[in-house]
Amino acid sequence: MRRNTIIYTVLILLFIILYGCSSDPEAPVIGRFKDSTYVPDAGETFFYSEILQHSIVHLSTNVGGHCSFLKLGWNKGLKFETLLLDFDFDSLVNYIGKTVSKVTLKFPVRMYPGNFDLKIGLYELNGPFSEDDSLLSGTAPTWADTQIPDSLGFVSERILRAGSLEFSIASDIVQNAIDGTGDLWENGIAVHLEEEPDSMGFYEINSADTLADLEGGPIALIVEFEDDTTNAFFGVKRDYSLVSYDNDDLALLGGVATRIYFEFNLEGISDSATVNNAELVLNVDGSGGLGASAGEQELLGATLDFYYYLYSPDVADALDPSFREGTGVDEGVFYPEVTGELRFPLKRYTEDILDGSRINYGLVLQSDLEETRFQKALFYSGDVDSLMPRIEIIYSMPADFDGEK
Amino acid sequence: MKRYIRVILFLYITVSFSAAAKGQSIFSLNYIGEHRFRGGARSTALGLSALAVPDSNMAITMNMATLSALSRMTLSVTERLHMGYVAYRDEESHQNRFSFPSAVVAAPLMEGLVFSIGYRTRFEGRADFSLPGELIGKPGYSSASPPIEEYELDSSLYSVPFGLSWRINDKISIGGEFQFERGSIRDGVTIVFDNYDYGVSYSERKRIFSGTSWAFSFLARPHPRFFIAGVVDGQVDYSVNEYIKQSRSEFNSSDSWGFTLPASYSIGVAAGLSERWWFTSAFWQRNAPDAAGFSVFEGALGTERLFAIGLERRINKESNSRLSRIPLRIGYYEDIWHMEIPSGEPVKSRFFTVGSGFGIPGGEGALDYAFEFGKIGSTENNGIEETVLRFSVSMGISEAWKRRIIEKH
Repeated sequence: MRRNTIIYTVLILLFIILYGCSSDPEAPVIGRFKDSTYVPDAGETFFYSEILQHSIVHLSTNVGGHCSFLKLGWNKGLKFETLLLDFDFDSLVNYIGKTVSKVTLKFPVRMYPGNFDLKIGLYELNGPFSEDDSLLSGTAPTWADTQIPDSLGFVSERILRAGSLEFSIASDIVQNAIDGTGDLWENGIAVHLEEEPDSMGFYEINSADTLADLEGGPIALIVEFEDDTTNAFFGVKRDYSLVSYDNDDLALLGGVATRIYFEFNLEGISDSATVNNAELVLNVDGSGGLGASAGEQELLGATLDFYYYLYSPDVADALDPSFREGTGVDEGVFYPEVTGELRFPLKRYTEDILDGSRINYGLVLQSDLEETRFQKALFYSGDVDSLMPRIEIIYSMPADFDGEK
Repeated sequence: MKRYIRVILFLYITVSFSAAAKGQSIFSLNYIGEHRFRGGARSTALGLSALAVPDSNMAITMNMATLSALSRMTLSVTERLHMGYVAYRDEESHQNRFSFPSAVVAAPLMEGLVFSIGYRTRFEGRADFSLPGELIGKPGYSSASPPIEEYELDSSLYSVPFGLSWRINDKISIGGEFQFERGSIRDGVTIVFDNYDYGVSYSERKRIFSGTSWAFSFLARPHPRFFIAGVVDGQVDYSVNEYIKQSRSEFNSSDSWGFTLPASYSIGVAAGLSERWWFTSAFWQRNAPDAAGFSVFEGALGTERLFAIGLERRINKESNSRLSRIPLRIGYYEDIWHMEIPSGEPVKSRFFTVGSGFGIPGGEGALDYAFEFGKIGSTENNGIEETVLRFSVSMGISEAWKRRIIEKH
């Protein structure tokens, strides 16, 4: 009995001592040795910031524009002043020998600002356009100097307002095409604003890419004949909203391939540095941002998120086709209509640059919806360091084990 | 016997894997760590002066020649708890740590000839601390997290001795050991941030030590109440392989060199003042080792010396008094470390010790314990000092070394 008592008493005591004792941290008393005899010394940690050289790159070819709604009007620094329309007249031959009585342009407006009208004009295009190219005002084909006349043969005032509209067109234009005595808008037509809008806002019209089950269908030319109760329907096969914006802005646009190209050199960072964190820092000016139009929100359920894609191009020359491709660095969403700081993670990318496994061709930021939705993100680019586009890197040097105190 | 083995194994494993199983004094994170003298709790209670004290119960002693007195197979384990209060300038810290247990098992091959094998730590150090770092070049507008520098030291140089002790006659015993010397010193430095999105930077240096050495000792009894002993622990020529790992593996490196730990010499006496009162004393010395691999200690390493005295009142088995059946041990020692912090100012340990023990009922072993109270270093000379209370316990169990008899029915 006594033997067991002793043993178990010792056991219990040791357990109490073992689990009951606790230590304070060695620091800061360790400072006595840390400053003199304790050899390992953590490497220094640095904050590196480089203001980025930036440029706007507009890729005009091989980047399509297939938005659900065509737009006219001004808002958020975006000026949609022209629509390009190209109709499908392949079935026109079916109506040879018939007499045209009436021609109207069906213009299905799906969303409107509600507080102002837009005066528009219709013009025949002088040259072709492709939906598969990214077009801006100035790079698109020109159009005729005079408007397409109305049914009376005059250039009437055409007003864009709420609802599904119809604009009359001179019937002889179609009649001549049926008779083979004239061309019917070989390159399509342009719908152009005739005056500056009184207020900010977009008229949104169904496009050829609008989902078929949406109300109204696309823009179409409706032709009525004198000897037949059946109307001919010539829908739009290609359409495009031309946009312009202030070229001085540091802006990223979807809907057209307007990207931002950042260049930096990372000079001053040691080759042996370990990157703890690296970020591309941009400051959003929410007043100039557009996540989605009203029509896209209400009719398509789109959110205001700006979908971005950040990549490292394969070449540094923006004119080289390889510039539009590269290695993805980051992708995600942000709110372009909310002012604030954005940080894009670049840790792995900068590690690759520093260890030489990747060539530094800079970074390109683009909309990930640039073929399907007009979006705009506006960034500060003024003289204030804290607001300028920059790359921030926190890196540390290897520990020093040499003991040179 | 089996029960005690289970108890000892349980304690050994528990302490070994305990998160609290750290090093010794806070001074131990420098150089190759803190030197641990061999011996159990009885030796400690006598102020490390028990070089010439024969012990018929324990296999862990300061002098392997004393093992020749063992007549039974004996397993001994010693464990030490270190509780320190560190003062540096206006800062203070309480440090409680366990050391890795040492263990020896000894088996008599024939009367007066004992074989032993064990494990003992020569030097050890362990620390785990963090310091705030500076984020150099951070502009005022940035809210970037400053770094935190985390340091981790884990060092242990240990011996696995294979020994033979021989009692030549009633007056003299000798012992010899061949020791495998192994161990490593690992320094890890990690830079972390409060912001968990930031990656960490890790650097590690690991030095792996390996070598062999010899040790010889004797215990002589020229007079029934006078013992004299000496131990020579041979020079250890370590080969050191160093590996440095970095977060970026392309900067990893390795190196190797030699590190010599000079031989140590010790001599001690035990004199019986009466039948029960014994005075003990010992002197131990090892010349300054080199600073290879520790350039910061170039010119700051000196000879280590230990001066120790002790007084023991042994038990009187014949007495009916309970107090007379309890041994009493007191001692004092001063250890002058190899390290000089700063150069020219050696670190000194001064400890008063007290302890006792009792035999495990049934005569199968003993349990000794000791308390040490003292200081390591001094604020005046070394800029930092540690006030220390240590508790050591040694448990020894033994069993007659004979063939098992199997009953047949």
